[in-house]
Order: sequence, then structure tokens, then C-alpha cells
Amino acid sequence: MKVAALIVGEPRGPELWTLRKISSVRCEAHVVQALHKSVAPKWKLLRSRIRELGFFATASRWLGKRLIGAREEERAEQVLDELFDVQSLREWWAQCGLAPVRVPQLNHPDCKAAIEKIAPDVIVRVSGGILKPHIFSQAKLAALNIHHGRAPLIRGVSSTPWGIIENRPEWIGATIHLIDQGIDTGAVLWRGAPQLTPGDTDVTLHFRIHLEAVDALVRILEEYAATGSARARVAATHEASTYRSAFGLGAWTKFLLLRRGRSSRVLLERAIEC
Amino acid sequence: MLAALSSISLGLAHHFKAGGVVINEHVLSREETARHVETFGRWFDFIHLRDLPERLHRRYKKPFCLLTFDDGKRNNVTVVAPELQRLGVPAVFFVVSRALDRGTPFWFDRYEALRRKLGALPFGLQPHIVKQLPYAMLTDRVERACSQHGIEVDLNDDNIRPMTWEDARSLYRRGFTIGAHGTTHAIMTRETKPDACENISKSIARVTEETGEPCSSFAFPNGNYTAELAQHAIRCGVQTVMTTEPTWMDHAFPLWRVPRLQFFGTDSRTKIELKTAVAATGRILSNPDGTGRVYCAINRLARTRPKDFLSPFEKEKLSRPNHNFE
Repeated sequence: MKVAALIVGEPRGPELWTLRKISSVRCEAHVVQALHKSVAPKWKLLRSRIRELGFFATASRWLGKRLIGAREEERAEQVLDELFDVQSLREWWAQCGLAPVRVPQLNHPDCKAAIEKIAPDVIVRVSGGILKPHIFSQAKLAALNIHHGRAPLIRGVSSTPWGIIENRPEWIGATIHLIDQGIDTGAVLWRGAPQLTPGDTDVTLHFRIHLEAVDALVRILEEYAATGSARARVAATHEASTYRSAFGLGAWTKFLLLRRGRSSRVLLERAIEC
Repeated sequence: MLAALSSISLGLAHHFKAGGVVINEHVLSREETARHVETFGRWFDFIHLRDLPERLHRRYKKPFCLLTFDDGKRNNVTVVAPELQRLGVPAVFFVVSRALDRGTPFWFDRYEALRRKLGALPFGLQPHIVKQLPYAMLTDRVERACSQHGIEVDLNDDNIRPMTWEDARSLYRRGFTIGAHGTTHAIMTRETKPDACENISKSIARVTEETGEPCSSFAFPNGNYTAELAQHAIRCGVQTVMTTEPTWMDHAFPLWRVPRLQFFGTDSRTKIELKTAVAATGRILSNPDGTGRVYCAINRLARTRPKDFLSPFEKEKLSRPNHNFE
């Protein structure tokens, strides 16, 4: 079986962990590395954002990212690098012999050509943005995604922080699903949740969620390798589905006031309620 | 000056505070054991674990003190227990069942040896990181670093070597209580829920099997807990579940969330008195489980909730017609 793992930029701790685990499966692993998340000009992205969200929401999101988000994201990535022991993973990455095929962006025609050449049975989106059909349809068996939230209950990005600030424990977890045209709407193959514990933060939760999800991904890939298919372990439900995108300034402020989750009810209550 | 201040503070706490303290120790020398017992004995009545529910719900002249020792090191059998026996002080010894089965050193002793030898810890092994890792990942990382730097721990040292089951049975025969402290010393909240539950239930079953008496208490390794795991331990048959929240215990605390004050052998009498007095406020000390003062918010939240989850022991007490609850 051939597996094509898609990543964007230099892989950090969580991505390297995923790649290492994928390479442990009895399969021919390939890595396609996009240099940029998007190649569209910034003004075009801004215009489409304003059309989609409105001026004030876009401004709030931009301010949130500038004032708090960028710093918080960097901090989270540093902690995750330590948790995943990125130094030893980088050593592995340098020696593993997985030579990534570099493309400008994941939805770029060059990427399509690179994937066509690999002719993968399974595509795994390890990091990056939304994949377009001409990319994910290249997989003979399945295109898989790890969503760090419990889809379809919560879709989009930052599901764990959203669960913390909106007091929704049921959102915190991870899902492995087939990639389709929607955002986190594909058939669910696995869904799990870590133990929510007082003292946790969004980063420690993300770490444990990712460990569990990658273990599940390995099991699913092994099933594909053995049988050529994987059965959906989670029956299709009619749960109310919520979509959340990036934090605005208000959400970032609330998140910091909750000490990144340490003071959130959703975690404190785990000490006194089941 | 500090000694006088600590005595006055503890005197005030002793006067105004109901309940008592549960003390969490690990390994002590004979002199340290005697010093700790002498310090606590001035202010508290030493109690047996079985007397804890009674002491929580009835006011006595002196507050209580329950001594507990975690991990089940051989030092507890060779040094601590004989001294406690000589002084007539009861205690609970929490043992890690697989360590007693195999006689292997704990990950934190190897980690400590690594820290001593290298001075600075390698990347990915800093204290704030290791305690976030699941047990398999943690032991793998520590083992790798130890073999890379040629570090071995001295298993002839009673402060490192775990006791045997025969030692545990001998403690039990001498009137001490043996409690469960996990199959491994995994931080239960870092494991998946099924793994944590299995770890807890197997350790409780193993203590019951080896001592021949139902295991009555469980202590969370490192102190990290959730209500769900504590409830699981209660379902496995224990009556009390210990954490490391650094506060005094009174009737407001359920028996499935017993707070404990952690002390070490090197702590002086002044430090012990001051720390015990400060713990009476329930809001100043940091929880050694790494969660800081999150426990203050938990306890505030708990006080707003009805006491809807009782251990079988508490239920039995409540069902008695003439109970003396405050």
C-alpha cells in the first residue's frame, strides 16, 4: 500500500510524530511538502474574508491574531515541540530516508502532479489548509484527516480552545474522517477524547488528543493495508453540528482570562463531577 | 523568630480549624521520623485510617493527623515502620504493585540520578514536561537518556529499592494499613481513561490479594485525579481516595478526595509548623501535582454543589439513625 502524507512548511513536533508513526505502518510512505499554506495575494484573502465574515469580525480576527494569537500560537508550538521531544524526532526525520516532494501549495497543480506520480492508495493530510477535490480524489482508497475536535459536533479550527471558552466538554477530542468537499464533514472512522483534568491547558489537551488520534490513525492504515478498506467505527448521527473558525479578539481575551483553560469550568468540574 | 511565628500560626490554626491534616511522606531516616512525629504530636492526635470518617464528623479537643507514606520503598519497612511502632503512631503505606512484583526502581529515581549526573536535564525531560507524558512515553524517554549516559540506580539503597510483598504483609501484621498506589507509578490523568481505570483496579485487587484483606485506600500517583477516576477506585472497593491538595481536611471534603500535605525528611520543625499553619487557609500553598493553586477554585466550586457523590463508607454513616454529623 502507498501512503502520501501531506504537510505544509517545516514539520514541527506533532507533524513529525505523525509522520514517524505513519512510517511504522507496513506501507510505502511518501511525503508531499508544501512550502506555503496559500499562494493567493494577501489582499485577495482579505477581500474574501470581509465578504464571508463582515468588516468588524474580520478586523477583530486580525487584531486578535496580531495582539495575542501569534504569540500564543508560537508559545503553544514550543511547548508541543518539548512534549513530543522534537529534537529526537528531527534526528529521525534527517535519517529516515523519507525525501519530501516539495510543491508551492497543497492545492497547486504541481501538487496534483506530484500525487499523481506517487499514485497513493491513501492520502493523509498531516497539516495544512482545506484540500480541494482535485487533490483528495487522487487517493485510490481514502483521503484521511485528523480533526482536533469531535466532528461533526464541532468543525473548523481551534476546537479545543473553543470547547474551553464555551464550556463544551463534548467538543474536546479528535476525529479521523474521510476528506470530502465540506469542512470536517466526511464519514467518521474514529472519534475519541482525552481525560479532561483540572490543571490542563489547551496545549496539554491537544498533546494527549494528538497521541490518541495518531494511534488510531495507525490502526486504520493497518486495516487499509490488510483489507483494502476501513469500516466506520462511529455510526452516522444527527448530532447538532457547530462550525467555528479562528478566534477573534474577544475570544482570545476570554481564553487568556481563563488562563488557557486552567480556570475554565469545563476542566475544574472534572475534579468534583463525573 | 520564625520558629515563634510558625508556632503561633499553627496554634491559631489549631484553635479555629476543625478536622485535621493528612500527611504525605515518602522516605525518612530514623531521626527524621522521630522529628516529624514529635512536631505533629505537639498539635495533633495521630489517628488510624479507619478512624478518619469518625474524626471528620465529630469535634475533638485536638485536630487529627493521619500519616501516609507513598511508593512503598524498602526504607518504610526497615526504618520508618519500626520507629513509628516504637512511638505508637499508626500510618498508611501506599504501594505500587508492579514495583513490588518485580523489584524494579521507579522512573523518578532514575530521573533523579540523571539530573544529578548531568546537572541540566536533556531536552524533552524538563520537570514541567515529564509530568505531562503518558507512562509508556515517559519511561521510554528516561530509559533512553539513562542508557545513553550510562546511568544506573543503586538498588541496594533502601531509599530506592521497593519493598517486597512479604514486607508489605509484615507491615500489615504490625497494624499498619497497606493502600494501593497504582500498578505502575503512572500519572493517571495522562493515560487514556480505560488504561487508567485498569491500572487503578488491578492495583487495588493486587493489594487485596497479597494482604488477604480488602484494600481500603487508594492514593493517586503524583496526586493528579479526576472525580471519574476517584469514583472508579471507590467502585473497586476502597473507602478513601487520597490526592495531594495541600489543605486541612474537614467534613466538607468527601472521602474520595482526601487532601494531603506533602513533607520531606529534610523539612525542619519550623518549616513543618509553618507549612501546616499556612495550609489551614486552603489557598496559599501550591499543589505538588503541578496544578498550582487550581485546587482553590475546585474547592470553591465544590462548596456550591450538593454533596451528591458519597463513598459507601459515608453512605453507611449517613444511614445510621443517630449519626453525629455537624
